[in-house]
Amino acid sequence: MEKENYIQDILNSTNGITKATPNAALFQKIEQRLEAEKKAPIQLIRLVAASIVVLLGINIMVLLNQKTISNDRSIANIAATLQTNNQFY
Amino acid sequence: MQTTSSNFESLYAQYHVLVYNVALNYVQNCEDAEEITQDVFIQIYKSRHQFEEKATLKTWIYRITINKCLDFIKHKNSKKRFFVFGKRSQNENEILNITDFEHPGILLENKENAQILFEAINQLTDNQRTAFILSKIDGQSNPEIAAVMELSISSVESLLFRAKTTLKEKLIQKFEKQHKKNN
Repeated sequence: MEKENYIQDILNSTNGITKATPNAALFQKIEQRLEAEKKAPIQLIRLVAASIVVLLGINIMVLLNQKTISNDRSIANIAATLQTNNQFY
Repeated sequence: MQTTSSNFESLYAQYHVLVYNVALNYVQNCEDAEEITQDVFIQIYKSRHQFEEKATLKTWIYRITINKCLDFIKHKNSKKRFFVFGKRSQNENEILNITDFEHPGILLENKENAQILFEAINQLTDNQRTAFILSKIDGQSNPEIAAVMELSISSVESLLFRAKTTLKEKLIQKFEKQHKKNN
């Protein structure tokens, strides 16, 4: 009997429950979060654009460097062949 | 559903109490319930174009709220496991991840018993817990619960029956434990 009463008391403890209301500033918080989420993609786009520019810059620099190196090499090759051709017999 | 900012504000005005109270029934903590309410309304704003007129707006909002609550609890439980098995903490409350029982809707004289009830509810399976909370605490009818949970009415009845049986078993165990302590 005591056990039954205990169970019923616990199960009925939510009787008379009332509706609670959240903090009045909650809607403003939601609006702020929505605004922040709208701004985030713009920042992401800017970041992606900046990294593309940096990557392109690095690629162009490497290509230009290779060109000057190959030019230097071709001059050195000509000089080497001239040296071998101008030997005394 | 087209939601301009003024429409969104009126939607919030109409449903924020419902969302907050459902969340409160799941997490029994004001701060957590407010966090869930924020997540729910952000989700509503983002997926407003996906709303189909097949369900009522209220049912749709209920579904989003319940999913957010269950996700929140899962996330919190995984954090709890991380604290127990992973990083060590000096604060015992942090290790056990205890949150104070806080439900402003419960009458003061029922607070102690309600805490025991919610402890038992929190051990139910997700479906049983949802059916019980919507029926017993939120006061929804079985057809309304069936629409929210996308189940048949008989399935809801069976879920409620199993939930009540499990709760009674848990409460008997609790009663016997307390009795042993007192003797």
